Amino acid sequence: MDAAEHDLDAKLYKASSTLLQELGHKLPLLIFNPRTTRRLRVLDSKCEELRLLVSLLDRFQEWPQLLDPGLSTHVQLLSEAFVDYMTRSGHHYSQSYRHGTATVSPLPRAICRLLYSFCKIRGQKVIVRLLNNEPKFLAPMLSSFKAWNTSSMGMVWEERYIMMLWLSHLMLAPFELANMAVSNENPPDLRLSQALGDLPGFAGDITSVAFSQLESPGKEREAASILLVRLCLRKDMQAHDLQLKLVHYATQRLLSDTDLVVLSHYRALGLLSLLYGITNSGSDKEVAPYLVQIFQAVLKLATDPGEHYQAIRDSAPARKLILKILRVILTHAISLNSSKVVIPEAHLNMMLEESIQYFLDTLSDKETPVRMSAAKALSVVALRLDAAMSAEVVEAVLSCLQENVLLEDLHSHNLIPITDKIGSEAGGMKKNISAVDPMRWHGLMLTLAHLLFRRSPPPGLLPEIIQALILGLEFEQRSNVGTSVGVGVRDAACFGLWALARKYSTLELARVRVSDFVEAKAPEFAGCQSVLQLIAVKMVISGCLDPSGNIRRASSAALQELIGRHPDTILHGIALVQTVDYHAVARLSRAMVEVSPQAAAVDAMYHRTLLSALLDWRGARATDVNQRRWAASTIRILADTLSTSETLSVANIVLCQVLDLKPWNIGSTAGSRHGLLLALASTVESLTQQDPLAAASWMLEDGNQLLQLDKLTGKMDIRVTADLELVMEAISTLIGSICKCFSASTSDGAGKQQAWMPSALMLLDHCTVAGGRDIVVEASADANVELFKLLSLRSDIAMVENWLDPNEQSPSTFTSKGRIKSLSLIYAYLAQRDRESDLQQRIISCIIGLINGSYRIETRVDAMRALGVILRDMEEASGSVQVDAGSITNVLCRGLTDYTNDQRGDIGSLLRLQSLEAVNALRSNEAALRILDGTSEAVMPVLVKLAAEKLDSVRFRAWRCLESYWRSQATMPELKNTFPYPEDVSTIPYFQQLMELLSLDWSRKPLIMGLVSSATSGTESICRAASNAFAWYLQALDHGKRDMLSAATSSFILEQLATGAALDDRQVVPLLDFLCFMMDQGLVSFQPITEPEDNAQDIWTIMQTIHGPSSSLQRTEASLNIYSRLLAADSFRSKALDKLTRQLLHRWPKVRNTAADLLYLNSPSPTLALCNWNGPVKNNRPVVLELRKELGVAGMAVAKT
Amino acid sequence: MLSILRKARLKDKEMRVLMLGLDSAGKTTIVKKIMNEDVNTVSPTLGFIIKTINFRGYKLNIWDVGGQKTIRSYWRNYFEKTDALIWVVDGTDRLRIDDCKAELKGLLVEERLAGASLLVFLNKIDVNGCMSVEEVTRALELDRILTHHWVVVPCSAMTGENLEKGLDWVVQDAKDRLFLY
Repeated sequence: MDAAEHDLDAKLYKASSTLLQELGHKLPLLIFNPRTTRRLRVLDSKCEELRLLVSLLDRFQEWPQLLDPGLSTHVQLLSEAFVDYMTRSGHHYSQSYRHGTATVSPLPRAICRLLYSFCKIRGQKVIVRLLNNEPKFLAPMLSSFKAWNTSSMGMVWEERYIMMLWLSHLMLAPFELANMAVSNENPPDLRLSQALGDLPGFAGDITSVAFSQLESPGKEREAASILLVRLCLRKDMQAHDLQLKLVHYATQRLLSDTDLVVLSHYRALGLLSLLYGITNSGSDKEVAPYLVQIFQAVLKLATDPGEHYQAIRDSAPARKLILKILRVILTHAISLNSSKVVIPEAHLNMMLEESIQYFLDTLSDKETPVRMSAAKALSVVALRLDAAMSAEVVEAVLSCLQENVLLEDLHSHNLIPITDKIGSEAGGMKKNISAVDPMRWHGLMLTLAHLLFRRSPPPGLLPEIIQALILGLEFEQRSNVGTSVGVGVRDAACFGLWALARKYSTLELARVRVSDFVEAKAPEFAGCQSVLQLIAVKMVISGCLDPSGNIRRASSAALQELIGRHPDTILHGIALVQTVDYHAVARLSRAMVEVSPQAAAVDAMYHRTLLSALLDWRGARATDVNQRRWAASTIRILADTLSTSETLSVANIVLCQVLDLKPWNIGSTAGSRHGLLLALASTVESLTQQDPLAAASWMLEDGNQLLQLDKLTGKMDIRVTADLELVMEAISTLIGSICKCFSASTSDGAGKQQAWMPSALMLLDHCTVAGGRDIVVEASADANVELFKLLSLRSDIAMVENWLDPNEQSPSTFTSKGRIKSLSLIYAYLAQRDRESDLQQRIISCIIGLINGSYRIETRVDAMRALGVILRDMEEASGSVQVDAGSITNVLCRGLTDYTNDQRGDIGSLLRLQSLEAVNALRSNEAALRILDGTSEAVMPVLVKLAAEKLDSVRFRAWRCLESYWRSQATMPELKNTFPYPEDVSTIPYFQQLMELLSLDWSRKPLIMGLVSSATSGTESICRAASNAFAWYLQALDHGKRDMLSAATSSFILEQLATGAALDDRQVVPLLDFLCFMMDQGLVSFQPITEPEDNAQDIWTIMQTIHGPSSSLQRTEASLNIYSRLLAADSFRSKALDKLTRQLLHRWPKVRNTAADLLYLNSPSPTLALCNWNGPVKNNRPVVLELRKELGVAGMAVAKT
Repeated sequence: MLSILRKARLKDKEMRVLMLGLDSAGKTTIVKKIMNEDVNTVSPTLGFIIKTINFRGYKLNIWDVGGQKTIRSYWRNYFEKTDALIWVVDGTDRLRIDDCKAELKGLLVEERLAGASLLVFLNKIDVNGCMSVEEVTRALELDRILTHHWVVVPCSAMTGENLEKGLDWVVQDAKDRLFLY
């Protein structure tokens, strides 16, 4: 929807000079080897590299001419190399073959591939002109082609394509083909030679070669047809009537060869393109003899219902070619007859009528290229016709545009066919184009645009044309799945209006009476004096509001053209051009919210028209939900500059439109309701700002249905769907706006206002409780606060107390997102006013209760978010509010350490993240920091743990939080680096920075806990970063400090293991793994642990509690690793050997294998390697016993596993 | 849609030329003179005017953007981009030559105008005391421009002297750089 912000072509232009340089450097290297001899073969990979380079430029479709400066050098280099190869080393030609992993191809293959790439970018016409055209190469080229084009040679299609093209280029040779040597080995196609008769010398060869290619499915078909066309247009061939013969042959086959399409569609395509080529390139005189014949044949192909013809017509390229052939036939026929009558008048007219009818019918073809050809054909033919007939064509197009256009009653939305109404009555009706075929309209619009571009319609027809174009500019239909259709039509209309502005003079356009236009009668167009002005207004609207970026840009371009070509006719034209600018309209949000207010500020006319367009399908009724929201914001901006009475009338219009909607909230109705209600809310807000009293009295007016909410919402008592949530969002916003208005005005209609409240409350409550999407929650919570402000003193408290009581409502209502959010906002409001301290406190404890309670994680996250709001808005109350710092600290810590896990994974992380946000909110609020003294410090250790944990998102957020604390504390170690991006916190420097905290008492333990998780169970890169950082940090320290820290760390881990032995694997296994890692790094010393006076528990004892026969696989494996490391410590060696050998008889094969591996590493005994540890345990028992004897642990009894 | 237009533009040999310069440099007069319109009735251009000139088989769409603060809007649009720039200098206005230099410099750094050739029209050579080509080249520091093909053509909008020569250069430069059909 949005165009790219940056101009791709500008960027590519910058890059192109280096690309071109590279190309110029590498191209010779491909062809010549270093000793400047030409290569015979090249590596495919080298060729691909160059093609890649060329195709990079290919992206540059905007600017293929970039290649031009170097193009002739490159192509000549390639072409000379090719010719050289062909004449001197043609016998080397062979299939590509593989050499190891590389493929090697003969040089011509590589050259042709590159040449094809050039053709693709720059068009074959340009490239061919640069090829070598010395006639002496004609014969070698043809014989090489024949020699190489066999199955054993592996010729690829690019080669055939280029060689065909080259031959066609060589056809320009000025001397007779008959004089050239012939070497005819293979007999020509019988049918062909019959049809074409004896051709002199070379020509026969060429035709047979070309015809064989003409039926191929690849690109070479095009080249072959070009070759044949060149051939038959040669002087010497014309003497043989080759042209006529070819046409005859091709039409015969197309008409009567029933096998033609059965085998392949491409055969018919080849013949058609040959026909087109011949007719297109021939002069009038050359074509004259067979013009009628070919016309009849092609028309038959185009319209005959026979099965064979239909089969040909089934392919879109064929239809396109038929159109093109008819087009050139007609142009030939018309110009032939213009000087003297060659074709009988009646006959010519018949031809014209038949084909124009065919063109018109094809305008609705389902394939875009076909429609484009038909449109072009119509316009080209119309240009050649005399004025009267050309006008007829235009009229025919215009009358097609009238088909199926209905009139729509603006209120009842009833549709009436246009014929039922007389012109004057139609004023109050809108044209409705929902019944027309968008494809057909696209074709018709394109035709109009093409006609205008060639300036064929007489100025007298301009009113109807402009009318049609304007309708086309606003064309939109909804497909049956609800998406918007019609971009093509609008695009074509833009093109048409652009061409109109360019090709017709100011005077001609000024003659068109604007009063004839229905649009001009609408009140918002009052003051629109000329049709140019009308078009400009429409352009501004579609430039600012169209959902498609291309249309916005096209409109802006057409507007420029309109203003530049007709100076001083458009109101404040220059200002418009500068506002509705190519770059400014690229992004829809910007075009709507920024550009359209600027355009509206230029003149009241643009303001009025934009505002009314904002209520239509490009605004409040748009398909895209965001566009509707942007429309509402834009309406708000535009309404602010209106007078109160004008705003009131806008409000009334919107209100009417809402009330006219059907009551079911599904699909586009729900969408429109959403947009219109938001628009209504915007106008109400703008009214409130301008004149609250007037606004309130308007709302309370008798007969104003604004307050009858059920009429605005339609049916709400249905299942909550995405559609319904849109309505909820919008109605909540509207209620909020109405409440704001009432609050702002101390109006006297209190009775009515009071009567409205219960219904608003009920509806809003429904939205609050049922809405699940963030935007609904946001809107309804905001509205709740506004409503709360409006309620009388006692009833507001009653309402909130009711909310706080879980017994009063169903659990789902109590814990709904909207409620929680509303509570927090109401707290913020109360705190600001320093009101109802008791209620404030109850809200806090309710929220805390929700976080601590056993609710779903989502609810707890919502509640934590609410706590964040509370902490942010906490005010230093005048002593009346007693906030319990302890309970807040507790709840924050609880949130920060939540590791809830379910089938979705670590969903506790959501709560941790949200808790971090809450901590942040707390830290940003000075008052709260003072009230909750000590909370911030109390949660810091937990934060440290989170800053080292394995989950990237949490780690980053925690770090941001921790960083701000770190900076604020003078006692902290120096910060060496900043880590402003999420990926920064996965790096070694980051973890090294964290290691600084290891020396602080308060942060050591949490840091280790975090580190344990990231160093052992995070992703590969985190594991590496964390453990490396840890090891490096410790190694960089001096001895004493390192010993102290590593001892502290290991004893802390052991402590954790000792106390947490019963905990689940998720905590124990990482601890074990980390301990193992420390042992590997030599960071664990067992000395102090084994000392009896040390209170720390013996590692062995701890291991016994952790690892038992019933432990899980992961835990067992981790424990085995520890045992194997303990082998190195003398005091544990025998015990560990015992333990490990016992595990050789464990009931799980995996454990047995691991144990064997670990033992083998320590004492490589062949028994360990040779024994099959996957076999049954009892088979291995004797082996194990033997082994234990060997290792000296035989004395102990073997466990009976 | 765009491809249709591009093809049509190539076929018709159309070029989009932006005509720029400080106010009262004589841009509109130049356009009028080329179009053979009366040059004695020119008043300061308030806005911008697009004119098509048929010149040596080429169609030059000249966008005369008169003395506006911002011309960013004209650099390119959906249908066309700028092929050439004509910068008109008032040869008698030595006072503002520095302004002129700054404006031109600011214009040329714009990457969306990359690839357009630059013709500097030194206008009003029929008036006594007009700057010379060398003087303008020095004053505008044209020798420093490496990003664009450029040339200075002294001319007079009132007499029409050298105007065609300038346009010739524009067309020729395009011919040299690009293969047009």
